[in-house]
Amino acid sequence: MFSQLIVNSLVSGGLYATLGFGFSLILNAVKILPFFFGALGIISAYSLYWLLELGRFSFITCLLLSALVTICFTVSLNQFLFKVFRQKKASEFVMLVLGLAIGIFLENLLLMLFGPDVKTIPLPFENQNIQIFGAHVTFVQILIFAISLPLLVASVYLIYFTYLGIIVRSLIEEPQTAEILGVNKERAFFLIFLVCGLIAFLSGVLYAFEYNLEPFVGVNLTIKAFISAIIGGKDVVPASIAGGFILGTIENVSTYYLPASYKDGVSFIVMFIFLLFRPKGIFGTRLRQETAG
Amino acid sequence: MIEAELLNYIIHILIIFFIFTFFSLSATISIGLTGLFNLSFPGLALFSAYCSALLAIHGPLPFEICLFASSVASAIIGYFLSAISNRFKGDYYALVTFGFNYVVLTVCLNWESLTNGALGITNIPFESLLISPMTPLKILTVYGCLCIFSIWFSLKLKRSPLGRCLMAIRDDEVAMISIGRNVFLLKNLSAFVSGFFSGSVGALYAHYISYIDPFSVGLHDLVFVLASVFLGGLGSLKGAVAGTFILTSIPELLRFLEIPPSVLGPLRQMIYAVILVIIIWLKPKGIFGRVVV
Repeated sequence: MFSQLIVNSLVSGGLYATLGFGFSLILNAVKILPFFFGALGIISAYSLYWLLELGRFSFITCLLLSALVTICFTVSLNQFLFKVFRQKKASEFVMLVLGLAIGIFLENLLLMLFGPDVKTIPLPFENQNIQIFGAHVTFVQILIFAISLPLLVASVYLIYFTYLGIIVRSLIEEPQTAEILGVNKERAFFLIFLVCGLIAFLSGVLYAFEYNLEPFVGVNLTIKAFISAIIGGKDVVPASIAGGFILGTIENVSTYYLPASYKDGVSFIVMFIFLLFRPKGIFGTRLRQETAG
Repeated sequence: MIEAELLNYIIHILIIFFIFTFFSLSATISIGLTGLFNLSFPGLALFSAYCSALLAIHGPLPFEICLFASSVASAIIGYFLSAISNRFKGDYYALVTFGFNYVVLTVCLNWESLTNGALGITNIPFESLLISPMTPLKILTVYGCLCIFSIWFSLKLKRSPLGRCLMAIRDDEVAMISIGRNVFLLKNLSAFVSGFFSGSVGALYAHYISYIDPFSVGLHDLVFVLASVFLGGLGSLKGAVAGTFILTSIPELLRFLEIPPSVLGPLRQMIYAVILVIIIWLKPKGIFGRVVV
């Protein structure tokens, strides 16, 4: 039982951590609240589903094509919408409303195209049940862990040891100074959205493998991502990874004591506890905007 | 016969318009006047809808008392939510208030002994103290009077010293602190009034439709409210009413195009989202507004 709990926590934690990382990257570096982030994940899963339904391509081709679709879509969202609004010097709230509108639009588009019923992506392999230390682990769960962990390690490497990472951190700390010192903001945003498109694709598809696919799952994913970001620490991007794993653990421990349907409620209670008693999160260094009052 | 049907249809649209005007007033007071990025309207409305329905069934109390009690209850919750989230500014304020919607949704879904879960509460009585049989025309009159009274109240509020203080917070918060105003309390008061109006929406809706489930009021209404407030112009009461009128009437025109209802619902949300994006793109001040938040 205990080992089962650990396995479940690691699996959902891995998913939340990947989502939280992408969310936090856009939130901190680009300074947009990405309400549409979950919808991007769902778009990748639905496009994969649609391509598989066509039955013309092999599974790997479909996977690559849907990755291409998601990444192109994410990048063009930045280039054609957010860039225009940035050039108009739109305020934070306008950006937020824009993100919300995009999220709602995409989810209703998927609802219109694919209908409200639950979809399952057919797997090309048998989803075997393996026992490790007395815990039941499916093949998909191992896959989630095997993909999300290297991805997260790569993300930390990206933030702390690469040139893009230096730019991202400078944009988080001092956006104006960074721009004065010659950081090409738009190019950095382009690359950030590229990375986030990849992350949204992976987390969306892995989510669809493990659970099922519904149009309104997107909002759920966004919420999980932002709770991870708040728990981890809002101004430190990799902290959201820790936040994701903590959220996964808390949720799965709560299902041990409470009915499983309370899982979402528990995660909100955890978020509100953090907001009340440690609003900057576990690893956060400061509140980005201190209230003056 | 057809004329009577058409009349009933128009009455229905007008009642829905009156109900949603309360939403827009609520958004105008907190977003437009005070400049708070409050997104908790649907959550408060849902809370108050359940509150009013349960009071009317288990009380059994007349409509007026249910409406007033549940609106006050949601105003108080709005006050405390604002007190919690006031330690954040900007997008984190929006996130916390947005998260509140999901707390209410989860509670309504899972507290099955009280709220009947996802099935919702049916046969909500509509018994008034003054008017005994509630025909649609009488409902229209009552709701219209309430709506006009609320618009009058909001106008008075806007021109009162309190309203001017709220607008000053929106324009320059630091200056307000420097002349010794209690900005914290003023913001909470604004959230209180806004919460009262949001609460009225829920109660009015629940009694009129006589059915409520956790998904009756949700994220889709948030986009509607934001779109109508931005369309009319932030901070303008005239604009809020005009925006609500335009947005309630546009989807009704779609009804004549013979679109199947499974497409109509998502299409309506997509139209709201597109209108919202176009407005903040081309005319961020809206039709009547003078301020940009």
